[in-house]
Amino acid sequence: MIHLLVVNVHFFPRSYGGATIVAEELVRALQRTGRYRISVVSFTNHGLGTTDSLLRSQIFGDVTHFQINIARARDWFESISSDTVSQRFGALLEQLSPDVAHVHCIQELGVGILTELGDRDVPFILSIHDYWWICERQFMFDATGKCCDQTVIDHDICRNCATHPQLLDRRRSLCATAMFEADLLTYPSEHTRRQYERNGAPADRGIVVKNGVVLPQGDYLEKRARYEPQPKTSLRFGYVGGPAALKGWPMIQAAFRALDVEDWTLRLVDAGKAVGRPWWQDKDLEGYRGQVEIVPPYKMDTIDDFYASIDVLLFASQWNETFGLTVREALARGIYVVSTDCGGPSEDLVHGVNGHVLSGFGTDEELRKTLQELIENGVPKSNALTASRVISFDEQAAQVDNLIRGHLIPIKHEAYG
Amino acid sequence: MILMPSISELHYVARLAMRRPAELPGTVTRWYQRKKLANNAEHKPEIHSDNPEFLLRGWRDISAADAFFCRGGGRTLLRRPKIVMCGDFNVPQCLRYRGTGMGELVAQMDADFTCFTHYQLEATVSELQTASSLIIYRLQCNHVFNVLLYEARRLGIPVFYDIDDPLFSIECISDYGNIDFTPLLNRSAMMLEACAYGVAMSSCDYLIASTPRLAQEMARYARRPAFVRRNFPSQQSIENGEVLAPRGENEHPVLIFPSGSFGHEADLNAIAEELVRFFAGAPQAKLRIVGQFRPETLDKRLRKYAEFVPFLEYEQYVAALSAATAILLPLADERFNRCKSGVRFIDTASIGGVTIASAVGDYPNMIEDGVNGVLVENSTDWCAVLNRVVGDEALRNKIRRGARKSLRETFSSRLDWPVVDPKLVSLLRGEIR
Repeated sequence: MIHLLVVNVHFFPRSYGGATIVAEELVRALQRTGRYRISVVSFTNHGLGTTDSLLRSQIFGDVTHFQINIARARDWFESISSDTVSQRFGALLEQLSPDVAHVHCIQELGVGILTELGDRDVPFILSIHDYWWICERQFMFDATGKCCDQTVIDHDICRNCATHPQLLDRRRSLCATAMFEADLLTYPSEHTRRQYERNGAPADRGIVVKNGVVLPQGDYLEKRARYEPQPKTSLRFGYVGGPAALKGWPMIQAAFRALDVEDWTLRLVDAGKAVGRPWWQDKDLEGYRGQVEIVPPYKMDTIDDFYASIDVLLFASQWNETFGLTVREALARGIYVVSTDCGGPSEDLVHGVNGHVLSGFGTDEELRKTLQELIENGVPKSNALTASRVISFDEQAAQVDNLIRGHLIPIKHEAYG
Repeated sequence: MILMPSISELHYVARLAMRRPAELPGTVTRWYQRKKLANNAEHKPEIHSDNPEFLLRGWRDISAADAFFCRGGGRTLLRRPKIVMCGDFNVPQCLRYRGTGMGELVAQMDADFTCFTHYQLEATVSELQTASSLIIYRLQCNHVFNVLLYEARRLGIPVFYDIDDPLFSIECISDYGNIDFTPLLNRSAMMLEACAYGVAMSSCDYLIASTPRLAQEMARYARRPAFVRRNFPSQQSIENGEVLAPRGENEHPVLIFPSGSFGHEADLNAIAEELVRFFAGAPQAKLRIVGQFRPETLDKRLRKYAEFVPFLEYEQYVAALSAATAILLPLADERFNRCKSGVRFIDTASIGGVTIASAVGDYPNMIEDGVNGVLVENSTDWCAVLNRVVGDEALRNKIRRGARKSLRETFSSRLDWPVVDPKLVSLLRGEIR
């Protein structure tokens, strides 16, 4: 069995963010292959202690999970580079002696852990999920909340935006050096790969491995039939992004308010409820001709119910996302997608076939026209391309498995003779 | 330096103040000296953190996710075994022989070892996450012990309990003579604490004792398998001892009684009559008492021969022993003492001292009469034995050579008898359960 060490800043039971879902689902899928013994390292900040600590648990049956806990208040730069975490991680590596590693998001853990892997000849894949390695703000949007459209990043421009401009050069140097420790880098989209390689990521070892999604269950079509109102009188739109400007809510709100037809329903998923902070509680949802409904957040076992109840997914991000999990979830279920041209999410959209891609980040008027057209003419029937371009987590894991066994293990054998 | 007494120590001082106020100043002074020495010990706790808040929060998270218990323990995860030890190492001798000594043995097992005091709960719990075994040393059933045991059970790792005195045994404490001579010790309090030690011991999986007799006592009380791991000198001590060995003889006999950190007045007074008879025949001889000892408890007839040297740091203490013509290790034949280890013989043998010891405790198992020391079978034989030893330089030289040889060849760090039960080694290595 190959001993695989997986690293991500968060991990079950402290799941948070899309990257964490990907990391968790990959672990489960690799576990199912029967070829791996898996350990996980993540980060927590419980308690009021004065020293760092470690906690072990056993999850998903037989996956060992170590949480490195730093309880004290930390200097900001320690989230980039932390001797304390590196030492604790290094000690774990000595004791566990993994064969290979798969590293995801490492903010809070710090780039030093990659050096520790390199020092101990543990070959690893670094999977990129956001822009943390090249952008201090992690998501390439500026201090005003607008998308940063830099292709080759210029720190002189960043100095007007960064929270710690005086540390930009040092941060860049550490992150760039650390990326070169990886034996392979994977990106969830071509857009992300190009952006990284334009900004110093090693071009000789980067490949695109799309994230998988939870595919629909066998009874999905029955659910769609069940949720289909009879007779069908209105088009049902779904939106998962929440009320943030960066997710495009102001544009969606303006477009729907400007519609002069009323045979539509807009279903707003309140994912904030899952963490006790409802998104839509005190938002103004008046002034629409059609229906606006708040629906509870879905989990992996209720995701089919949500998509079965809509005809069109709205994805209006105002920044270049690296992947777009919800877009693929919708495509895998035959849902038409209206999306801004926002990097990764639009790579699997074929305009007019399985979705509609707005120009750039779209405008209120362009979106309104698109909505009007769909309401009046209905959703295009042909979406033959949809399923073939969306993969499951098992298929993603199969690619990662091939990379580990075909690329990392030979490196390991070469290192040890 | 701020030194904090424990709750039980405060209770004791309060009772002492009410019942024997005259003894209070001396008691507090000796307590302070002992604590000060403990703070200088190798594993001085830098942070007294016994509030595992991080652990409580972490436990809640993993409980909610149905991920509380770990199967298989650390052994299945790790490249090699890792033993974590935590205990009450307030007395430097305990740290040296039970803590550091265990570390030396573990190193020979091709395993990893870390050792903490009971003030370092957070650090201990962190190290436990990657451990294959936990050894708890000399802790009562208190909140530190409870947390450690609970966490070890959650992680699925075996727990060993190590102690080097029968503090759990009501029978042993009931007739232990030194208690009456030592104000800091209170028999009733010790008997109550015996329950706390006994419960702690019984909760663990295996027991580790410093002598075979102690192992028997532990097994009787806790009904758990007990294994012997004798105290032994470090390689450094053996080498230092070669340097400190006496180079010549005293003009007049100097008999040294090492009294330790707690005082062994009862042991010395048990042979007082014999010493009086000896000094009557050797009036130029000296009785040097090194360590904690209340002079007023010494037999009046011996006071004119006595010199008192206060408690010393270990290296100074061992150096002081090298001035002896003979080193006296009397032990009253009591249940408590029958469990005692031969650490003081190890100290004296390391400098090639001539040890004269009662045939009580582990001394008969370590000393071969006339070869590496002298055993006194009956307490009424001390005068005759002293005269024999003091009068025979060739015998003393033979014993000096034999003492160092026995430490180097028999009672030094090794993974089998007589130092350690090989089954204990297998358990710690994870080879058997």
